[in-house]
Amino acid sequence: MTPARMRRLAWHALVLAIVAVMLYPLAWMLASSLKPSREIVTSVALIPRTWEWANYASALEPRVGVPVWRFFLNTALISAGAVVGNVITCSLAAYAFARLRFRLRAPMFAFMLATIMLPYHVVLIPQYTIFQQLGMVDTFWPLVLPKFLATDAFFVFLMVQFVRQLPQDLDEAARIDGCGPFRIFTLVILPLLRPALITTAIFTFIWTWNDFFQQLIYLSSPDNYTLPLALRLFVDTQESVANFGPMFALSVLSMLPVLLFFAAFQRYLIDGMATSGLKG
Amino acid sequence: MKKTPVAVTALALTLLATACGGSGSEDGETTLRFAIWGSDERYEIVQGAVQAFMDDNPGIQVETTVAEYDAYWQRMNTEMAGGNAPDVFLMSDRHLREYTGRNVVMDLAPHVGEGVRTDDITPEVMGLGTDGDHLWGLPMSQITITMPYNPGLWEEAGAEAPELGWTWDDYLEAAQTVSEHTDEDVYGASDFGGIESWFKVYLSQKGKSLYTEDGELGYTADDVVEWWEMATEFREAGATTPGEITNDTTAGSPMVQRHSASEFTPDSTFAPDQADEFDGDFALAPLPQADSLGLYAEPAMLISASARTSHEEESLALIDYVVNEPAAAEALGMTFGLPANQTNREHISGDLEGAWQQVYEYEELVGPELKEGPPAPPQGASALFDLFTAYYEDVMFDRADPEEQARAFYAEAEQVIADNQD
Amino acid sequence: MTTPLTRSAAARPRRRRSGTYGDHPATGYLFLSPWILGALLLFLGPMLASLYLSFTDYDLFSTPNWIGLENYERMLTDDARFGNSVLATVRFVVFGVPIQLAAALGVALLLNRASRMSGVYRSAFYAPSLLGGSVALALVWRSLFTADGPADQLSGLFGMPSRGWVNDPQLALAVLVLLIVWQFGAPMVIFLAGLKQIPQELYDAASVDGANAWQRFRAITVPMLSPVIFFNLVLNTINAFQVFNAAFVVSGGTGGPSDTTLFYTLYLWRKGFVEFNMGYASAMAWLLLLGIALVTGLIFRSARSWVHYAGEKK
Repeated sequence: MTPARMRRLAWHALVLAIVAVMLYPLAWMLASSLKPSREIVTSVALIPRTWEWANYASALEPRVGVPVWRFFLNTALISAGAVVGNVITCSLAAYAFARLRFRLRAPMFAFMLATIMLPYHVVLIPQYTIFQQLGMVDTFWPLVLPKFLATDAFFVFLMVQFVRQLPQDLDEAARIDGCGPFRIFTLVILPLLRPALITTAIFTFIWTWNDFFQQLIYLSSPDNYTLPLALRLFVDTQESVANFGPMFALSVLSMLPVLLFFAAFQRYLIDGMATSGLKG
Repeated sequence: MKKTPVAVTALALTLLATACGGSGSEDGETTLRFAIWGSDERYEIVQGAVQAFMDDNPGIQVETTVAEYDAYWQRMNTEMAGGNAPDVFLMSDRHLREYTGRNVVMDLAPHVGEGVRTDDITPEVMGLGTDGDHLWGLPMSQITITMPYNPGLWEEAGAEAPELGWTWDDYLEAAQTVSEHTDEDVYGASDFGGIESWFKVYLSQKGKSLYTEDGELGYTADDVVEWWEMATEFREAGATTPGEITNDTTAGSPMVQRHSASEFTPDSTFAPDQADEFDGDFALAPLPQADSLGLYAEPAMLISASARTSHEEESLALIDYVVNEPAAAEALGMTFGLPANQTNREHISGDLEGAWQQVYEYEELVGPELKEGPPAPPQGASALFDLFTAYYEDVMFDRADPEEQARAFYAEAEQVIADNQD
Repeated sequence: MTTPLTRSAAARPRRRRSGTYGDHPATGYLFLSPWILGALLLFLGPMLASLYLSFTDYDLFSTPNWIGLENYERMLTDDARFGNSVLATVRFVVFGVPIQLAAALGVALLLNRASRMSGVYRSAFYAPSLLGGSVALALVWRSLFTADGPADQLSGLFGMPSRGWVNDPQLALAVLVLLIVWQFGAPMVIFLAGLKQIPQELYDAASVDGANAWQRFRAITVPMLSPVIFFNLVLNTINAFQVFNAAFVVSGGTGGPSDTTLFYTLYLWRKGFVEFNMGYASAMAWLLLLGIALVTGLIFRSARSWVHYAGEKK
């Protein structure tokens, strides 16, 4: 064996060892989706004693009078809307903060950071009141509209950091060619920003997909319910064993779309980069 | 709720409101929003009663919304504060004064006899919603505290079966016996010390209550000391579950997790097929007693209306229907406990099965002994409920002396009550 | 890349001279217009409202009454649980943030090499972060740290017997720190994206000059990655100060045992929504904002000496 091959094997072994530890809890979750509810409650062993495939059939039955595909669809619509909104408006804002000069830039940037430093519980009610006045409560708008208003400071800041890493010579060259800021943004910055845009898309999708709190507050009719809301309806206030088996089965199923989304897009994080051809 | 005080926002808001507002009109129909807490299963059951209501009241649509208990209150608080409360909703005893004290619940008293019937409701459960001349909601049901246990395990261990009139000493002895004769991690009883609801029964057995009519504490620090010292005696004798089992409720109570052969619970918390979970080894018994049995009848919750509903008449009709109509009672069965309406109670008694039949029998057994429920807890009661558990936690993990901890709790409880009275 | 640029240049007459920042001042505001609208509509009003309410006895449902500094005074002088919540939060930030970032950076460096398996590995490391704060996660985490669970067996191996980490005031915080360390997917992906932005030529040139792996890491990776390290440090610090979901997953929101997981926002939420004291909660929120702003400000200040933006001229 050549040293290079040895090193490669050692690398694989190391990575796999860490992966195994990382994935143990997920394996437990997967195994639980195949256990009877009572066994989940009384034992913490990984391997099911009884294999309960019926959990999946029961997870796919309608809940609160709504077919399960509807929860998937609602969640997907909200998540997709959020992705589109964040990718467009956060990159616009990031470009302005990173490359344009205007008087209120610094105070505005500081205010943006302040919006994520204040716990959202105390702005929840005023914000709810606003959406209530707008007649948007119990629609998807309160969950999607803010994303079209670049309210996710996390992503604005993320993209600011990436834009600042891009060589300014490029902007200047484009400017000499007569490009205005909008063209510089779309033709120069956006293509180079692809890893950050993909990152934004992935995180927005996953975080919206899993968000419970906002969805709980703004969605009240069962037809509008999403997966995180549906997943809480297995837990009863009653003393009896909750429907944990089907709940785990639906949890596993609801993870699949996000896993696929991540797996499909993660490769663009690397493949998309052409910066190696550019001089810093 | 104060509107956001900034003119700019108001302007932008108005512009957007005209652009995107308006949720569409309804064609002559009234739509009521009805909020309940619980699981998908409970939703289906309630929906049966709601459907019957809609069939009988063609002009009214009811949109039922459901969330689990904690989420329910988070959403309710937000909606109430935002001026968008559901028309009709379930109300727990601990939240009642928080809401009525802030004028967001409709007073049903003026409508009694006209739209809202109370004649047939058991008087014992009317107390919670009654507040002077006001009536803040109708009782959904009658419940009392019971002790589910595994008679098979008890018998095998040679413990004496619980019966009406047995005492806390009897319980200690029996639970200890069960602990000794079962697997190492199975105990005769679940530690009861940290749950305020059971302390409430204990106080009632001594002729006291958690709160007085004027919303003061109805007990002394010594009462807490006594209760926590008794619970500690049980735990140290190995009769009740140790801290790490008592505390681990993510997947259910110790008894549900097979770590305990008895515990206390309201008798409305069982599914009809409850006994199957214990392979049939399941029975209900009265709680052990101190000076007296001290059990009382209380509603599992109230059904109330928003003070700001724009559909007052329809909301009252729904409340009345759910509590008083036989069709609703048939759909609900014993989900919330024994029907509060006596006619309905007899009406459904014929076709009960499984655990619901056991609950019915239990209510018949203790029924003659039941006292009227204690008054509604004052503002601050929710916080105290949690504090009671939090303070006991250090006792149950043997990190603190029960007496010191009890006195510390009591001092804070007095403070909380005082703060809420300003 | 050059083709569309050239074409656009030809299609459009030169209106302005070039110059680094020669744009019309309104351009910035134009690009920011969605953000400005969002800030005015959804944040400025609500934030000012909460600031105002922090000086009142607002109880969610009634008209608030002005009580001046009472909420603030009480918090700082007469609320033991407030002190507990500050302590729990600071401990969480101090342990959680560095450990999570180190783990994320370590794995990102490990994965930053070409392999057919890279995509699979990346997905595997990210998988734990796909779980929201769900009931399933609560049960999974319980299964690990409950009495006689894997964690107890592990500490038993090291001669430190335990009765369920979640019950132990010494270990309950560790359970939560481990949870966020386990879910390090977000910073890891951001580190990976940042690593990909570093031109390979720099490494090639350094290798030619005979630099070893550690020297390349110190001289190229760290400075080139510094904007991303800075970002992760700032955002994870801000988020860790507001940790909420993790505590809900593990302690069901009680903050136990012995208030060791009673995080600041958890206590704030309890004050606002369980005890109906939103005035007090608002005061807590603004105090937290000041605290976070202070810490973030220090990080920003320190950034001048260690964060380098390759794209910008000095």
